[in-house]
Amino acid sequence: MNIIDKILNSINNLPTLTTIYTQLSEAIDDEYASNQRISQLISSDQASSFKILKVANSPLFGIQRKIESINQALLFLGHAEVKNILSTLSIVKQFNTRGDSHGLRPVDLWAHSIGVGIISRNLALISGQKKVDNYFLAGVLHDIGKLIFLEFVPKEYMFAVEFAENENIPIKDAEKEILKIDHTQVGQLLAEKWKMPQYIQDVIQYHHSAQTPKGSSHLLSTVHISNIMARIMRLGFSGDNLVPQPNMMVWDEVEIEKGDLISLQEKIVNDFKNAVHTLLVD
Amino acid sequence: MENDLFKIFSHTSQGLPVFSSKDELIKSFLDCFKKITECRSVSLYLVDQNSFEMVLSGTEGENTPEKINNIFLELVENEVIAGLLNNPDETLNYTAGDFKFYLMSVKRNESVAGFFLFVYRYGDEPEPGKVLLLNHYCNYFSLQLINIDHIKNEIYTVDGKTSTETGKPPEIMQSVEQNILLNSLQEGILFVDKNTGKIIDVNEPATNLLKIKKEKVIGTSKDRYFLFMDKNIFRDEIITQDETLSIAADGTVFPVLYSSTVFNMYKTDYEVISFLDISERKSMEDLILQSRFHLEQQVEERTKELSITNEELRNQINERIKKEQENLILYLAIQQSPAHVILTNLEGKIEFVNNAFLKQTGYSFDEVVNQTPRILKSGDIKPEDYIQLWENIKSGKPWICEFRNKKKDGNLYWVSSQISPIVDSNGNIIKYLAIQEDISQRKNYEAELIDSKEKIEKAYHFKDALLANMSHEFRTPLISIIGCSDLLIEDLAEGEMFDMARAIQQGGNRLLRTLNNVLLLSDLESGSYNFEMVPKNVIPIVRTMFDKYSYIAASKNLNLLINVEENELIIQMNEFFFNKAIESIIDNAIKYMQVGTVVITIKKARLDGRDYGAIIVEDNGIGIPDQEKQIVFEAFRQAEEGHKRNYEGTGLGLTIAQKAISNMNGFIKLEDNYPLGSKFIIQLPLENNY
Amino acid sequence: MAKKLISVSEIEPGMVLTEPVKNRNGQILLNTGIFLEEKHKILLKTWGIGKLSVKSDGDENSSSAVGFPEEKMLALKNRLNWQPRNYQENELIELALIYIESEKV
Repeated sequence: MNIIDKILNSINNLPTLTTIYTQLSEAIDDEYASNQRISQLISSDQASSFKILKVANSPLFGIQRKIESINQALLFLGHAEVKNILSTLSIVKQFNTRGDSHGLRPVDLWAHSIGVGIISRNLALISGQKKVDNYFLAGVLHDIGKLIFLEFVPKEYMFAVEFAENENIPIKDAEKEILKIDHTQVGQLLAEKWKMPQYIQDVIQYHHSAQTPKGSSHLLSTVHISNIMARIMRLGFSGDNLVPQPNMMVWDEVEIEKGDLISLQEKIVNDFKNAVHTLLVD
Repeated sequence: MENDLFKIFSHTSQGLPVFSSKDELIKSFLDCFKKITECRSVSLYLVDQNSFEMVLSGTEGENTPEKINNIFLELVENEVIAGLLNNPDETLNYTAGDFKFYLMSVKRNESVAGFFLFVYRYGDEPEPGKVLLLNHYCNYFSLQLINIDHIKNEIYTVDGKTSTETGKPPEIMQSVEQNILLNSLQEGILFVDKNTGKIIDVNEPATNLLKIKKEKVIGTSKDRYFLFMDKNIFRDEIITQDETLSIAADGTVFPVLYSSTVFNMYKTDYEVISFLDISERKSMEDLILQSRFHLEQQVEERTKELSITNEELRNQINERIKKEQENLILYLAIQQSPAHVILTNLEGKIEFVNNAFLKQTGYSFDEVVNQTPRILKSGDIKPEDYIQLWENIKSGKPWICEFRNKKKDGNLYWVSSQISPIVDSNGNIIKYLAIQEDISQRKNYEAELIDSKEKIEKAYHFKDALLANMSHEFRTPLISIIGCSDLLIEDLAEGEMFDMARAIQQGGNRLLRTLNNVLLLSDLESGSYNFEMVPKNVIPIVRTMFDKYSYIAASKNLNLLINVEENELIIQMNEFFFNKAIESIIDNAIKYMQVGTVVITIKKARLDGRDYGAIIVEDNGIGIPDQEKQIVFEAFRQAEEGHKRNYEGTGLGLTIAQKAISNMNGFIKLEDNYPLGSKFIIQLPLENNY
Repeated sequence: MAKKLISVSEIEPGMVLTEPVKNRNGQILLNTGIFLEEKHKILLKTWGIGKLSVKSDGDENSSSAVGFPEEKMLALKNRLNWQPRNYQENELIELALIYIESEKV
């Protein structure tokens, strides 16, 4: 079996996201579902609900008061945000964060992904975006294809990482060279299988170019910049050390005022530490 | 200050006290110092930075406090202490007389709080080339003796070549004889060469925490073991501490308290990283958060339960209030009801009566309570009715009857009474309820009505008798009066006598006409007249009538015109009455006119899908006022009665006309435009409709 | 206002502070606008301060897109090999320079 088939097969055999996530997804998409029902649904999974509280209390969401119950989380963060936290948790749960391969360790990749999520959300806020629900999730998921590689073809992926390092090329090109398929393609397939919304699929597939065939979007551009910033700030590791130049067009999409990027870094680091701790430590 | 300094030394990084007293602290340090340096006589001083006063001192062997004090003053004089203030990370060696000093600064929160002085006698000094290091990890610190010679050799080697070509990393910690001290720490310690970023030595706790063998750590980058580090940690010579995540060799992640010290030794930068596993503290924090969360959940659930109970309670209260209000309203309604309400128990004893009852009967409430309704008995109700009553209400059915009741003063009044049982939810009869309505007034009206009806019937009888007699008793003498006056007129020549006879004849004729009309009307009303109907063309009949009245009109200088739109209009009619009707309408029109024109129109009209023959008589005479249109068709009425009755006529004509036409299935309509004249329309269904 | 980052040992009397000096708890120790003196060296070292931002002389154009120190840019070049086209990208490079100190060599 060649590598591509092996990868595609693995995606097909991946289970769906945890039941509670799918149930909750349905409940939240139902406009008429009451907070009480959703909170009951989440509370039925003690571990998840506690994690949600931890994330909800992290400085990332900037809620001044202490959130001490799912009900309060729903109240202060909104349904969509709680759903996004839960889906992040579900996906972290789905993949191994352990393992110490010599190329790219899952934990480093997770740290990178969380970093991109954190920066995306902060950039969305600073560029005056009203609806910032999806930025964290989109950032966290942008490199999900690499998780597939690490999970199912770790040895081959180690070669790819080494190849990228030796040749001083981006990991995406190394993936193409060694695996004949890159993480944006694989990630998109997984997102499709998991029935993620189209905007998440777009972010996964096009975060390198910041351009879909149908054009760009604020979300896509933000994740594009955030990916570069996370590399600059060395939040985690994503397979190579290179910092590409942003697509010039994203600066039109995401309005960032002078000094914003520098002044954000302290909050980003703080949020990042907190989120990594909550999401990666059991 | 003294306490403050003491605190620095007497607490570990977790805030746990290490030393319970100053003496214990001094003794521990002296022991430690002796153990490291192998010197026999050692003194230890802790000097406050602000006051330069000794806050702790301890001596062993030959040293005396006085000697040491003098030496310290010398140090202050020679600005050695000030130099240490400028370079707080350095350890100073100083020789004075027979004594050698180690001077180190003690820091708290990054600033110098005081100084440590270790003093030993010259000749009793540590092996040459060994240096003491006081390391701070957070507020926790450790004492190290470093073999300078060893490092010196290595460093000279390094200096001689390029830094990357270092063959063997300087095994700084291994060379420390008391590495037991390092290994007994809770913290893992990494020794890093700042130039290469590679780890050159680790202590045992570090290898345990990172789950990796010492050989495997040495030579690797420190970045591998920490997920992120605040950039400030790496900057310059700052000692900082922070929480981060450490990554063990197996990929597990655990939270650590991390601190880093950078120091320079023989032109090489070294970084000492210490990290303390704080998983337990973190999981404790989590546990607290978790239990708070559970508590919160329980509180929420309890609150929910309480709110449900509360809701139920409130509903019950509301229901009760509502019921009470209903009861109150019901009570007020009963009290204020004009009907008499009597409530009795099963034995028939009165339990309640309302105001209306008391007012009507004249009893007071107390007088009737516990009595039976028998006190009201007038004797109207027969014994068999009572049997019927009890049979009814005991089987649950109401009993309705009208009878008289007796008031307290003995007077009687009429009531309509409904007696019904009250049943509880199980269907058992618990009370009887009597609702009585005072119908005395109604009974009076009834009596009056019956009385007047009898009177009217009598009057009708009288009228019938009158009319029946009229024909014979009036007509016979009248015929003879008219007949005689005819004969007189034939015989008499014109003159006074002739005129008198003429008046008699005219009066008689008029009287006869009226009499005939009255009889005719009476026949029409009683239906006794044989009203035979045959189809006839109305046009020639009306024309004949027109011809007849043309002369009369001409004699009054009036215009009478006829306007016939059809050739033939066949109508089912009684010709006699039709003639009568047409005659009285035309007569009417001409009679009330002094001057003007009367137009008769005959045409076809369509109404409600049927064809009618219409005879319209229009005049421009005085007309009939709106309010009087109703009465023109009534018997013996003329519009403008009384003094204005200056037109001759019985007022019966229109009445007869209307009756007759309506008997022929037609109708007369009065459509005048007072005061510009009136318009009578006779409409009769055409023959072809049948 | 042009400013530059210097370490405590580089302090020269008469330099003006352009950003407040804070301790790790965020308390301000020295405020913007203060003229630095020799004594501040000891003071700042005692406080454990490493770097501070001072007003730079006019000839240093550190705010322009190409004004980054040559040697640091060289260190960056291995992984960030492009020129900034606008102030946002300028800031990205500024950020990269802050973090280069913690990079693997």
